[in-house]
Amino acid sequence: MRIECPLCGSRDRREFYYQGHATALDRPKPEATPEIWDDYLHNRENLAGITEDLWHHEHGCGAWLVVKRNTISHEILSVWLAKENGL
Amino acid sequence: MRLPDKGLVDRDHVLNFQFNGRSLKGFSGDTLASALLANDEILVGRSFKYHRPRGIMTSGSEEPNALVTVSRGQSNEPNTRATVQLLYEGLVAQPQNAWPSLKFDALGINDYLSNFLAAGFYYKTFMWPPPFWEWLYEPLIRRAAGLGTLDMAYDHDLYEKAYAHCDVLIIGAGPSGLMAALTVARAGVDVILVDENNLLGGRLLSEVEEIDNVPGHIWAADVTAELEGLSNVTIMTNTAVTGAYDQGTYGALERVGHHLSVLPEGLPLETFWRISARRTILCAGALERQIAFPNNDRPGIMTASGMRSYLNQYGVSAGKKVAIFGNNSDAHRTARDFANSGVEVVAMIDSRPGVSKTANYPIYSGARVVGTSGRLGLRKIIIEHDGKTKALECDALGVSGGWNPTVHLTCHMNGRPVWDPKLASFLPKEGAIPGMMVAGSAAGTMDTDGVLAEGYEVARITVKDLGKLAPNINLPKSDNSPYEITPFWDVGGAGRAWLDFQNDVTTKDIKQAAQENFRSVEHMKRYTTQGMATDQGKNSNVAALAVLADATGRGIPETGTTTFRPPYVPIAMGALGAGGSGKGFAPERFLSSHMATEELGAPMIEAGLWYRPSYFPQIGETHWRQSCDREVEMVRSKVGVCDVSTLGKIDIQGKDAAEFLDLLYINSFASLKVGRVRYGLMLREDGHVMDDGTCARLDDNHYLMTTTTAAAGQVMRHMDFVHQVLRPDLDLTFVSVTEQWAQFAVAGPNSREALNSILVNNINDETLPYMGCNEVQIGDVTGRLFRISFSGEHAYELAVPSRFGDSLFRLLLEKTQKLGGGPYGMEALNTLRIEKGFITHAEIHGRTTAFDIGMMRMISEKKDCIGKVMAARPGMVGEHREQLVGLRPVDPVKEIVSGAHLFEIDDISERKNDQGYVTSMCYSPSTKSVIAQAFLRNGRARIGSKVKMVDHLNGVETICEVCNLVFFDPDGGRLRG
Amino acid sequence: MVDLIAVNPMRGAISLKIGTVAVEEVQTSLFTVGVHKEISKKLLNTMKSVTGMDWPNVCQIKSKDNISLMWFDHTHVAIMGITPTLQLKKIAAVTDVSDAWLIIDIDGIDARKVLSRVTPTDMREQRFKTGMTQRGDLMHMQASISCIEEHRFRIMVFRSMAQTLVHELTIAMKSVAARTREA
Repeated sequence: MRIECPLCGSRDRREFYYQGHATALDRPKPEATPEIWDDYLHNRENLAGITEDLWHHEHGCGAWLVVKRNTISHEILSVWLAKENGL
Repeated sequence: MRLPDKGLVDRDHVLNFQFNGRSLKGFSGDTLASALLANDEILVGRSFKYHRPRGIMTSGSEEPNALVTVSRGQSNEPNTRATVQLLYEGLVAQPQNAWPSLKFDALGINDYLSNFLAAGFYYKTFMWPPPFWEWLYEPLIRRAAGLGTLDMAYDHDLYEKAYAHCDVLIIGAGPSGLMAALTVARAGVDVILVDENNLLGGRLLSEVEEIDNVPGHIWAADVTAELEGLSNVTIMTNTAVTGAYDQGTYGALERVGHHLSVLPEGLPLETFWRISARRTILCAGALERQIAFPNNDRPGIMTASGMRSYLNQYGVSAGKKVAIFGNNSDAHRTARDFANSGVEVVAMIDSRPGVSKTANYPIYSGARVVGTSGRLGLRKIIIEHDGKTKALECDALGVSGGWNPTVHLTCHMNGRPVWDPKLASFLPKEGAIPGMMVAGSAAGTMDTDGVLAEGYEVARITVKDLGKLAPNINLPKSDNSPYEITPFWDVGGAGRAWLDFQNDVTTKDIKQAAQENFRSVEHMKRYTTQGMATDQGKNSNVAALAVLADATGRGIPETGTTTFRPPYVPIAMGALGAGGSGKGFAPERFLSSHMATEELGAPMIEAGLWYRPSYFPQIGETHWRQSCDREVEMVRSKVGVCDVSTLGKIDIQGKDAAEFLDLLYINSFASLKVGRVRYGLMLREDGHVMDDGTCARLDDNHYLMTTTTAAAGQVMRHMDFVHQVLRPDLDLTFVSVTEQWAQFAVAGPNSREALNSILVNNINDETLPYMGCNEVQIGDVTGRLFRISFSGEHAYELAVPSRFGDSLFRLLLEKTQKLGGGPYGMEALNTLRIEKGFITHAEIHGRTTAFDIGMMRMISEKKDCIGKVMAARPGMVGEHREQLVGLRPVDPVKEIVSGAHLFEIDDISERKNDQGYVTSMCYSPSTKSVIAQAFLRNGRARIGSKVKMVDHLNGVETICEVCNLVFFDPDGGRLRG
Repeated sequence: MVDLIAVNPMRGAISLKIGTVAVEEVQTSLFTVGVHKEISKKLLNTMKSVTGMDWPNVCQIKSKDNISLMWFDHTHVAIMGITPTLQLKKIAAVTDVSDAWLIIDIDGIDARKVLSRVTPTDMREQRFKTGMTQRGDLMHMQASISCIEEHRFRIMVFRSMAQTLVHELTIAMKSVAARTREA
């Protein structure tokens, strides 16, 4: 498996650390309800299809990436820097 | 037997080798299989279950029968396929699975018991009485079954892993692969051409047909020469692509040293490649299959194409009188080539009716082989023709049940092959592997002209796809012969007809499986073991499916195939694990004080990847506890030195650094003054403790964080996460400086005196108070001094750039020894911190909260931090939580064991009564008692009470007093003093 | 007065030659310059005046008069060969990491083949050209790999792993040398 790091180019998956779904990007405010925090931390769809998750190029440039990929075909559709998410 | 003047072997280069204790000769260019056939060694092994005599069946990596053990130097490699083992001078090979000898094998008795040993026999036979399985049945079966014997000695051969990258990977260098490679190469695209044989050409090496008016192998050699001259082409021979993975990644096994009698120093036996390719062209060709007929497994019966390979490539005839049995036009080429080579062809038996062909040998159309004889080697076949049976004497029979495109790699990512009724075979599903196209016989094109054209065409598409200009090449012309087949799988009849030769699966077994309702192909496979041997059913799976389809009254497409999984060919575990043996298992991290520590004879303990000293034994000390106790007393009474460089150190700078740290830590760092250090605790977002450590403020916008050794990597990743993912708006950067600084704890009442003997400017309580930090000079070197303590003593940590670490450590030893001190190791460090009630990752192990460790009040009310919300959840605080407390045995000579569980004294020691567990323990020289840290339900309220510690593993039970976590100097007077 | 002695990670400087490939330890200063937000004009100019070179692009390394300027990670560049001035320290996060890294140069016609055995990084000549730098895995170590001449690479791993780097490179160099002899 290879991931196209926006900074480093196509790189072997050994260089990446996998975190989980990109839900983690949207941290609730401290005063948010327990349900919202519960969803943020724990509840994940185990979907067959297109998903976005967070990977860390730990043995590379150190950037956190959002990887959009298809869990059925394993195709990677796009990759962008987490710090530029929503820009 | 070897025929004169035929084949591509080098007859001027004779090679001596041994098989089964006999000395034999072959030529350079032979495989072990061709050399054995040349020496009329027809019987080469015994089958797995019935110990039937077996001969060579194929000429390729799909070989099911000819498995031998090759001995080279100290190593014995079992299950080597004689068909892929290149011959070398001095090769020594032994047959397998036969005792006492290949010709008389005692377990050949199984063959006569075959009625009892049919599919599923052990599920039925060895069920009762149940206890018999373990002590009788299984050992017996294990002894009787199996292929080669594993060499239990250490494997001295080297295995290597390596990475390759290319724009186009071409798998297989037969006519389509060569044509594709030529096209891609001429377009200037970066290409890797891989073939599992040592010469490029594929079937062209085995055929007499010409391409562009030269023999096929000459054409292949010419193309090879051109490719070798191009800098954008990498040719990998003896390399089998074993698997297809995501994003154009392929595994490939290169047999680097198997053809050498002695491996030169440093040369690996095998290399496992990971190839990354933008596009792939699969030109893996096709494999010939068998037809099932009674006793079709005798030595001397082989694939018609294999027989032709031995004849044309190696100049070896598989027999003196040969017969060919087939259901397709290709089989006739074998008969023709043998006849043209002057070998007697006793019959060409074609199952298709109405085949009219003239030849100078008898052709039986609409005929079939119905039986054979010759236990150790074929002597006779019985054929049925025109309603009559007839016996024909022959010592070799070539069989062709048609060709199966080699679709394996196309199925490795969930693709299922598609049945083609015309070809009576499965074809690759288009687009099954992203970036891969299939050409030639692998795609079901069976004539040479078609194969060449397809290789060219697919390569052109690939080149264009990569944005390059495809070259125009005039397609070469071959002596083309079209391929015609009428499916014919199973002759039937009374005798056993083999499908899977290696696992001894017969048509009867498949039918029995269907009868016992194992109708799904996957169930049939597991019940019969069809296709589960080292050849993974390459020779037999399609025929087995056809028999199953027939037995269950379905068509082949409805029956479906089993799953094709990597690897395509067997891979030695050594190759898969290459690079991981010995020191390659994990990097080793050594401290700058490592050498000096070793000189002192300190045994090392691994802490993650680091190597740290356990203790520093002195003359007369025979047990680690003696050294540890002495070191603890030394620190408490005088001074000790310990290398603490393994702690993670992160340099944080930027105008928002303070805000960032306040988000990371539960307590405040914005309020920390410059030149001061503070202890901090970090949570995970779920409210559990992640790590702890100190953080120093070096300047307004400059902090130095330390992490524990264990969590250094995790904390760095977490900080990257919090910064980049959660708060990219904060202006700061940070970088690991763990390795920049060699850092030493100098601890004990004499620590300041020791330091003042080396510092340019003396320190005192004013210049460096408790929890202060300063830049200091040691000679010309600028270091950093922190007044912090993990021992509870008046202590410092002194850091200098790592290059000076060795020198500083030696200097500190010298100075402290003058003051009655010396070095201390991990054991003493651990004892010192337990005495003082400090925690490590034994306590903050990922399931504990700030509340549990008594640090709830550190969570700042004034700010948000990671984990704050979750840490306040009802389940995370309260009386039901297991809280960190101290433990001490009531009887001081009793043991406490880390990991042991706690119970009420009167309760039964079982899980439902569990009250907690011990995390750390030591003998405390300072309090002259065993002491421990433990998590105990509602523990802080139970201080002064007694609990029962039970170590179920070792049968230890100790009554303990629950006590304060801090055993030594609870007021902290020694710290500040 | 006490005098601390500087010691190389493996005591003596590393020097290896096997087949066509040679490894030499490089002694140089190394500072990281961290910038999270935009790189200001002032910073660009200061960098130019300090090093004589423009700010490097992503994955770029350049050298001039024994000074090298190298992209280092998503938020840092590295300066080798000089100590950055106070001027630079005032406007960017400058950190001395000279002792944190072991720096070696691996040189020779087969250097790429050797490195292909220890790193999944694409070592092809047309991909990994002179002037390119990559952060990547090298036998489980976080490494920096830079092409400074066609057949010469600068490799950096953490100082504590010097032994492991030499061990792994030696195995790969022997293997490549043995293959070249066999061919």
